Amino acid sequence: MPLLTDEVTAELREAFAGLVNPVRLVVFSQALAEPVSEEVRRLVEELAALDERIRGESRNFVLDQEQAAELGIERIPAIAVLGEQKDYGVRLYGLPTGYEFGSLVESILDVSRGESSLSEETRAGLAALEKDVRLRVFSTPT
Amino acid sequence: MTGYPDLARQYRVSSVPKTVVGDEGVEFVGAGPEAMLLQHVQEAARRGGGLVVA
Repeated sequence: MPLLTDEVTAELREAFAGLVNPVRLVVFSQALAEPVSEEVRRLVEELAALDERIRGESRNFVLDQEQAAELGIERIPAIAVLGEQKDYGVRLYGLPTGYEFGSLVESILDVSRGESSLSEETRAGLAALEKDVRLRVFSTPT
Repeated sequence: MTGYPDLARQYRVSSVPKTVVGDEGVEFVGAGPEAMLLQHVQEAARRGGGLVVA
C-alpha cells in the first residue's frame, strides 16, 4: 500500500510543478537494524515517482559507508537533499511525517530553485561569515 | 526529538522546535524573525563556528 494518499499525491504534483532544476534525494537506510528507515526509503521512492526532476537514490548505511561519510550522514534514517550541481547542506533525519513532511517538500523546492526566501540583508550577512556554521533543528513529528 | 534520545540529551532539548547553532552553546527555542536567526549564526561563527558541514 502506498504511503502517500491520492489527495496528498495530487497536492504534491501541483507543488512540484514549481520545480526548476533536478533534485537528488539520497536516502540512507538499513531495513533490519532500523525498520523505520525502510519507510523513509519507500517515501522517497514514491516522491521520486511523482516528477522526473526528482531522483531518488537508495543507499545502505552500512554498505555505503564511504558515501555516508562524504555526505556527512551520521545516523539513519537520513535524507540528503542535493542539487544536481551543488550540495546546499540540507539533511533531514528521522521519519518526515506531519509538519516535517512539509519541511521535506519545501527543502526539495528550495534546492531545485537554488535559492531560499531569505532577505537580501540576511544573505549578505551569511555571505560575510568567515566560518561554516551548522544549524541543527530539533522537532517532533506532529 | 523522540527518535534520537541521545541527541536530545546532548543538546538539552526539552521543547521543540529547538535550534542549536554551531557547537559553542548558541541556541534558541521556537521561531523568531529572520534577523534574530542571522544574529545567532553570526554569534556562533564568532565563537568558533562549530563543525564544517558539506
